[in-house]
Amino acid sequence: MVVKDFPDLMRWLFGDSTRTGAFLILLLLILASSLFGLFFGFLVASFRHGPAEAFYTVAKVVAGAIPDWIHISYRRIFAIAGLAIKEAIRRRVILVAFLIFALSLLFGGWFIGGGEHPDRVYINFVMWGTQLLILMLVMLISAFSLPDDIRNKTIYTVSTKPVRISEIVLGRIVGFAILGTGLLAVMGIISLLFVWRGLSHTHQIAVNDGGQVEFQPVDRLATGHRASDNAISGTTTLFDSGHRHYVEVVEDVRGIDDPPPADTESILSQETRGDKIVYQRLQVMHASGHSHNVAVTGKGEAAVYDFSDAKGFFRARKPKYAEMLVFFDRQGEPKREGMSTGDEWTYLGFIDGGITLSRAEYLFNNFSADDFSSTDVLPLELKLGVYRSHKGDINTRIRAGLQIESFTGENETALPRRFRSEVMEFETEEDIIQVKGIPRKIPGQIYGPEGELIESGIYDLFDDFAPNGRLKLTVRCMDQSQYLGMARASVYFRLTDRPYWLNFARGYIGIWMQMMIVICLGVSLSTFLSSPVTMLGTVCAIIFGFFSESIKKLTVPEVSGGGPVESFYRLVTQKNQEEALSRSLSVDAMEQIDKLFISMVGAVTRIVPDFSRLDFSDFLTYGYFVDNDRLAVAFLISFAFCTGLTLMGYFCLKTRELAG
Amino acid sequence: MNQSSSFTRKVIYIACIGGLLIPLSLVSRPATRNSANEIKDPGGLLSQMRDANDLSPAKLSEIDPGSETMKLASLGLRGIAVNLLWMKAIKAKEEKEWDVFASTLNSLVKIQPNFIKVWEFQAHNLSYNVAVEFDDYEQRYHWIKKGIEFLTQGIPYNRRDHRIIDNLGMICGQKFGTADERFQYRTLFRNDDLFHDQMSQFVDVDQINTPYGPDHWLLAYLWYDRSLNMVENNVDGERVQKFSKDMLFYQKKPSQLRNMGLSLRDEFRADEFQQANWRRAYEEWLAYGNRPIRWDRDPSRPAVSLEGLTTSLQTVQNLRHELDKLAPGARTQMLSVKVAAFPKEYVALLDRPVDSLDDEELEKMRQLDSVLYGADNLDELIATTSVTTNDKRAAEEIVGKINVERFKLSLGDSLRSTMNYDHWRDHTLVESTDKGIEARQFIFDAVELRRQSLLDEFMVREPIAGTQTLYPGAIQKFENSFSDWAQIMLEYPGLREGPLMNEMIDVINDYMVVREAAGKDGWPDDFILQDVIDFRFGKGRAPDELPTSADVAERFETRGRLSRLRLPKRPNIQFVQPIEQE
Repeated sequence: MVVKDFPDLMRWLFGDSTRTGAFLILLLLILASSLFGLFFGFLVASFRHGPAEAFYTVAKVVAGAIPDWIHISYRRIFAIAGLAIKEAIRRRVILVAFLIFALSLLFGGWFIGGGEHPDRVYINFVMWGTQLLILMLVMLISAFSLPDDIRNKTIYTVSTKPVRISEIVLGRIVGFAILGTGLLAVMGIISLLFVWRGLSHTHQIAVNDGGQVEFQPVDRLATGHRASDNAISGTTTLFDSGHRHYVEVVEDVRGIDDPPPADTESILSQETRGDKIVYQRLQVMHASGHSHNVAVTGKGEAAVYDFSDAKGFFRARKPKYAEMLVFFDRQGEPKREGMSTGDEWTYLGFIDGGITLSRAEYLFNNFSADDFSSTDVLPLELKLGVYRSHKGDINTRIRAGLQIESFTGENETALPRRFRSEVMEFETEEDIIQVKGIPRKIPGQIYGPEGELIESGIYDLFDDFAPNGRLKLTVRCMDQSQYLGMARASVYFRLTDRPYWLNFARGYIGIWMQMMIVICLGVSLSTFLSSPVTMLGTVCAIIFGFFSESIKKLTVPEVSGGGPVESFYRLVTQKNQEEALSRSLSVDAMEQIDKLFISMVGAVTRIVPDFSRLDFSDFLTYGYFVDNDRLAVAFLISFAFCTGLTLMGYFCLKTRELAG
Repeated sequence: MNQSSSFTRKVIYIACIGGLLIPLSLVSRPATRNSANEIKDPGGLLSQMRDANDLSPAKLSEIDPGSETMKLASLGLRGIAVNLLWMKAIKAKEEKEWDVFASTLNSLVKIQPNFIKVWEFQAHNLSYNVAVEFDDYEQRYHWIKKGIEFLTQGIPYNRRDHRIIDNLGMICGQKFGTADERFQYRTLFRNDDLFHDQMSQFVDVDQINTPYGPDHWLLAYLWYDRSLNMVENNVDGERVQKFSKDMLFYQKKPSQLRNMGLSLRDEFRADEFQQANWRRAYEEWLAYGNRPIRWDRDPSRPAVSLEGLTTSLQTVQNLRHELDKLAPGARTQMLSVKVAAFPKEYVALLDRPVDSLDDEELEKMRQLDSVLYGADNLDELIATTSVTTNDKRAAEEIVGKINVERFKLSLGDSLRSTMNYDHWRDHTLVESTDKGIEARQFIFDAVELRRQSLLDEFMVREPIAGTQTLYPGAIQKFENSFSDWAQIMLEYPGLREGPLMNEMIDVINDYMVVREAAGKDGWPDDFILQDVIDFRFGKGRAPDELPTSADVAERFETRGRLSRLRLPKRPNIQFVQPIEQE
């Protein structure tokens, strides 16, 4: 998964030396929008009543707003909310939305599944479907509600009662929110069941013509297939649910006093060889993003092999990312970015291999044993890119080396003894997350303050290497002239997994936050616009919100091909994007119009909420936990937008009432 | 507006809609056929136009509910949906999100199922561009298969288009068989029973079995066979348009057998199966040579066959004799000056029957013909200037026929050269002979012995009987092979240049390395293929820098000088006991 931002709530809120905090930006925004609102209100009132009267009118509206919000009645809000819910149900939009949802789930299973990661396809399908339906639904009910009431004059049945404008606006928002939340919750539970049902499957072991299970000896030259290092033979399962698994017989060699393998049901046989016990057990290899447990009962030809339900689909990994990633070039000079291997996509930085000083250092802070469920072996996960500059040895994958080291921060006192581990080498595997178990006790050396070697031995990862909570993990490419690519999120320690249902719920909270913004936007716009225009405005805001990144790319001044007018001109005159236009008055005019348009679009992208920050589908899809800071940031963004939009709606309706 | 006027308006709307439906149904009325499948009614105009332009979905493909649902779900915004999906696919590929890329392609082809280029382009993307992104050959193999599986999805949608089938043949053959990792791919393929099962839905996979296991070249062969069958026999009685040039289209199927032979000889010791396969490859290549091929730039011109060279030459010769009867002595007179410049034995070739000439003589005769008749059409000149008025018409007819045959000869030459036809014909034939098989076995054995470091002759003593047996080493095996190849080259001089010889140069280089490793001179004084090396040098194609006869002679001279200077000889250490030959 591509992770580019690693939010820290406090840093996001109050900023640091490199960026301004969101809190300060919000304060400035409130000030700016208040001034703009007052000025705009004064301008409109001036046209209607003249400047002197306008000042009085604006002051009255602002002064009236304070009691309107202080003396708000929750009873009345919920009464209006109840009416809004009844009205929405009467419109049958919810029924239609739910029907579409049910139909998609009923027949969606026909078209999805299979592939490398069926779990991702399933999650994507339900998340995207729910998001689309729920946003469409709330957009429709919020956009049509108030304008219809005003048009049909049914608003007077409410406004003639002792109800405040703030209560009318809030009541509708709350009503639609309750309705949307209920529907979202139902959709979420059904979706979870749908995903679970769709992915649940088991397998049977393959048998030969005589009905017997045949384990073939592992021979890569004969089969071309790579097997685990300790595999001695293997077979496959039958093809089911669009895939099959390799089943290996692996030899697990343990000391006489050591406990047997945890998965005792998979043991085929055991024998004593000298002072060791060799367990031969079955191991189901990963395919389509999951694996199975296998239980063997009986011996020889009478053996029965039972495969468990799929495991590995429903994960909520909690990664411990490094605080910082520093690349070092061939000469050992630190760089902010890794080398480029010519990819357009610059997410991964590369280091080159062999006898150079090139490496990547991951600097971990707050590295503590408390975060891990078991500290005997710490799971380190890596997803590295590989670039070969020459063919090399086809049969062997590119090798990487890991080294762990203690380190101190910039203004901290240097540690009296610095620990450095031996290099742990392994073959990289592209496109999958490799899990490497780092033992807590690892062999290494101790160095003094001057870099002198003090002693070698086996040391504790937490107590020796990271007594100050800081740990440095160095990644090297071990093969000459080959390259390894990585980003900050490519290497992390996997902390204790979180419950999957909790992550799923967090994913839906993301949709809920989007829904709330759409409701507030719909209600707010509908206080002064007609239904179709409100709907159009909301759709535009959603599109801008979801595609803000792409739209922002179009607003950079040096975008090739120019703005809309220039692009159209190039289109009809068949001029390519790079061809310079000969200077003329019309070309200058065209460019000025484009500049204006681009700056307007740029401004809009900054005003509308960035929905991608509230969208956690990727986290669910790739099995990563939506962390608290990320959720809190998303919640604060949504809350700020909802508050602002509600106030805007209130003032607009209040002004409209005054006008009426 | 009152209620009744609103009702009236609605009625008018419905009537208008109904009225418009009548002409619409008339113009799109489908064709009807009788029990003999003959067209009874050609249908409406729209229907006829759809048929004429092959746009009818029912004809293009099976109507797939999934695809139709996707098209409907795009609510008439199919173009936009397609663009969005293409952009998503491009982004996923750029960001190396391969599973997103693959699933996006699956959605894309549901909306564009009859656009062949989409299938071709994206399958190529999967099998070539995505596969190569992976470091591990097993993953590469997996993504090549993904491209193949992707293409097979397109078959039911495009049952009357051979291009998808051709692409399947290309990926199954070339990608698995010519990549750097071909040995690994071919091994994986042999053991991939699941993939064979998948392919069995489309081709008879029993036919891809060999004694070494299933072979992907045979799978490619079956795909091309299917494509050829579609073009030649149509599908469901409907014509299948051929989108490829005759010359290229018809060579694909026989080439796969040849490619299999080339792959197998590097992997296994030559045996009866390989010999039979080479024979089959030769026969199919010959059949390709006998097939009439049309010129793609002007299909109205007469078709030529690559094997028709002798026939055309003989026809030209006969026609010229006929023309000479109408204008006795004219040709001799006109050619007298030009002919005088050539040796007599050259000129005599012109009068000999074509089928009595060997390859070398035929080549000389063609060169002469080209000089004599190439610049100005001498036959036309004879017909216009030397024939009596009464015979003019007959002479013109003969000249017309001569021109047709000369066109065939010229086009045939060009096609044969493009396809390297003669070389592959002789090459496959040679490989299928006992001599060729023996030569291959020697090379295979030599390579195996070299791997075991048994470079030169070695003695093995029987532990019980105590007898000693001398076994040949890699050097002797190489030399045995060269001896066979020398005989073959003598019989087929055309093979002294081309892919076979290039391969032989590699073998000779290996031989030199082995000799040097065994402490001998890298190049023997009496190398049996020296003539071939000299021939290559004479053609100016010797970047391999192998020693020519002149180089060897110079070496002799140097040795002589060293001997005169009484320089000490190189020590000759004998590690082996005197040989007791059985």
